[in-house]
Amino acid sequence: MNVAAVLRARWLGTRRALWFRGRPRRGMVGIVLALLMAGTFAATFWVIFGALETAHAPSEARALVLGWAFTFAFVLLALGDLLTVVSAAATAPDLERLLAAPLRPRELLLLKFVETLPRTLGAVAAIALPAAICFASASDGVRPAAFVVALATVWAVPLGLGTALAIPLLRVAPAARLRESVAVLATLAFLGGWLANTFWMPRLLVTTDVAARLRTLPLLPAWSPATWAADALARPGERGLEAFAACIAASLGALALAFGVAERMLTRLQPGAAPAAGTIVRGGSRRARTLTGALLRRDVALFTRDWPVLLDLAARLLLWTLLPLAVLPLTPMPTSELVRDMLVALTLSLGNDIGTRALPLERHALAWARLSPVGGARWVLRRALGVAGLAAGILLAGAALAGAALRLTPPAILDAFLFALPAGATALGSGLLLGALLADPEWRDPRAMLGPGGRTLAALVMLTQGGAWVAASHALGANPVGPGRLAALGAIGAFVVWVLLVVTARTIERREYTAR
Amino acid sequence: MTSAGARPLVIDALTRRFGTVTAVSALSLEVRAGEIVGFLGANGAGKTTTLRCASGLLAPDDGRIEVAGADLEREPRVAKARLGLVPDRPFLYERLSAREFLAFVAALYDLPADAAARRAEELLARLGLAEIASRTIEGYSLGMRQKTSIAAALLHSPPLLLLDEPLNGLDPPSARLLKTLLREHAHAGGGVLVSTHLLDVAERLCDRVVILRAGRVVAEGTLASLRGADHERSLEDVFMELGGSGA
Repeated sequence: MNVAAVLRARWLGTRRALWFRGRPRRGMVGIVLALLMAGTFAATFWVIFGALETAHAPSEARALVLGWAFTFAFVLLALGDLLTVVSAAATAPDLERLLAAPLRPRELLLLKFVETLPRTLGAVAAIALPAAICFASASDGVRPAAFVVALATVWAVPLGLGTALAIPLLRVAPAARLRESVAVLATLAFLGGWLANTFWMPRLLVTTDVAARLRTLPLLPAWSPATWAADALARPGERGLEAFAACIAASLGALALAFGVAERMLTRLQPGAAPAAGTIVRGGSRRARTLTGALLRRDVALFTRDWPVLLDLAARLLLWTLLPLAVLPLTPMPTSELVRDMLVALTLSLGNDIGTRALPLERHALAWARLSPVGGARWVLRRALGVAGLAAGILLAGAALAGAALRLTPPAILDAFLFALPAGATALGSGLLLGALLADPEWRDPRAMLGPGGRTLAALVMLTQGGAWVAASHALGANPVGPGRLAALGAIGAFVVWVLLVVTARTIERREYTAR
Repeated sequence: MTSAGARPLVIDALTRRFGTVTAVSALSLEVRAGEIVGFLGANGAGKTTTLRCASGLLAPDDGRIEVAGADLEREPRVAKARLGLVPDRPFLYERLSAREFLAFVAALYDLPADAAARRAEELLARLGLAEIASRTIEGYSLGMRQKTSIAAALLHSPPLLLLDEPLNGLDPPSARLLKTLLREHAHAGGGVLVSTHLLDVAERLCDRVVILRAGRVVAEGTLASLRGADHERSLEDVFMELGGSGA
């Protein structure tokens, strides 16, 4: 293999995805987002290690925080790398060609490692690197070699293990299904990490005894490469050296395992040759009598049969609803305001996660909105009816559960629900518009139905709306919203939704179908 | 549904640009009732752009398109109800079965539910999809997807059928069946515009061919008229002379 020529072609492709003909390209958004994420984590770790230094916390405490940061990155990477390898097999347009080329399996694997480097290094650069830098700047005597080896371990071990696991799995399960399952696992891991972090971090920041609070952290598992990486960096003396050696052994062992598995099994892999078999569905002969019925029936089928999307939605809805509980230790608030805020958070998730995905969920079949004699307005209105029905049900259930758990009276629950209703409607309206404008019909990850720019914009819109509604809720405090204000909010919400739906309909009508 | 005597498709001076590139330039053509017209051209000649404009997926920069008597710009819904498109890449919902998908398409075209169900079953049976029609489309092969797309285009028996490389992925029996279906459609008074790279198919199937080069029509007529005095010339010879050397 002419390694230089092959790598040059890869480099050209990567470079053009970032910058082409003097202009930044879509790939640049990913870098900006990774930098933003790294900046956020760096600020967080800076505060934490600074607080530990001020509190003269023992070195064990710092090692523990570093270990948990590495563990978080490690778990994300382990699932992310598994997903990357499975995706490379399921969707990479060139794998078939590479398998047919006179390449040794280890050369092919090396090529894929180089190609996926930006993705596999992402969590290292965004989480582990800021943690290590902040730790090193707040601690004395950190050895440069340990710094490099610790980060290399957090990168190499998940990559090696993910590859070694993915290749045999791909031989027994359809790649598309496997990718969906891993994506769901990644979502659940993120949910677990987020919940733990959300409830622990605000309580750490408001405590006066950081060291005491840190003692409530569970101990790290002793046989984890993330623990060894943290120990290599943070522990002095013999224990640090042992961890250093363990890191090197684990990294080399994981990579050797990956190359060994590739050598035995990679050439027998059949990229994309095992599509999902298709599920037999009942009731297909039942006909909808109206267009609304047909569109709703289609939407129900698409949502309920795409269980990775469904599970991802459920996880996100739960996350956002619980978010106000996380800030409770920092900002005590009346129960009625807390329930309102929880419902507002839920509605924002409905807008951001259901609204923005409602149209992209159709993928290329969205072309029927332009091809069929159904106008954009009818298409969008019926789509909005479908998601509004779903969202209203979720919101009602959320209001009942939150109100009952926090012991609100039924009138207070109704008051909170009616306050959240226009928030939800406007969030759904803006979500539909963003979905119509920025859908990526080629999406493969259920969490990325909009392009990176679209997701960033959707997040900004969501935060802006959330800020406004939470401010309104805060201004009301413990008082009920009352019929007058509710009517005014309802009227404003209805008008905004009408404008958003009209613009969305025009967008759908004007959206040309240019995909190849 | 169709205006009496209206031609299934009239394209008049169609122009479509993508940025600085003119994909189709002042193109005019028509498809008459009962006629199958072959649309030939090298890669990038503008065939797909023309078909997408004619089906309403793309808006023309200039020119006029009339489908069975309805102007596509002024009466888009009427015009779209009168055409069926088989795109080069089918627009399908992966998580619906073929049967569910056809029921959905029938609702889009406002077909009576029972009649649509009968028509869908008839098409599924003819296209050999009946046995897998309750299985979700994600498990279909390329040929099965193409046949599902063909069934969707024929479901409402439109006066105009537009097909973009419809033989892609079809096995020989399916390809023959498609040609039979197109011929039946033309015999029933419909018009067909089919783009293809397979010159032998165009030669045997089409009543007339239109050859496109760099977005312009360079030749149009029956095979006999294109051959001229030399009866030994094949369509391939004609194509290579007029449109085959690139866009």
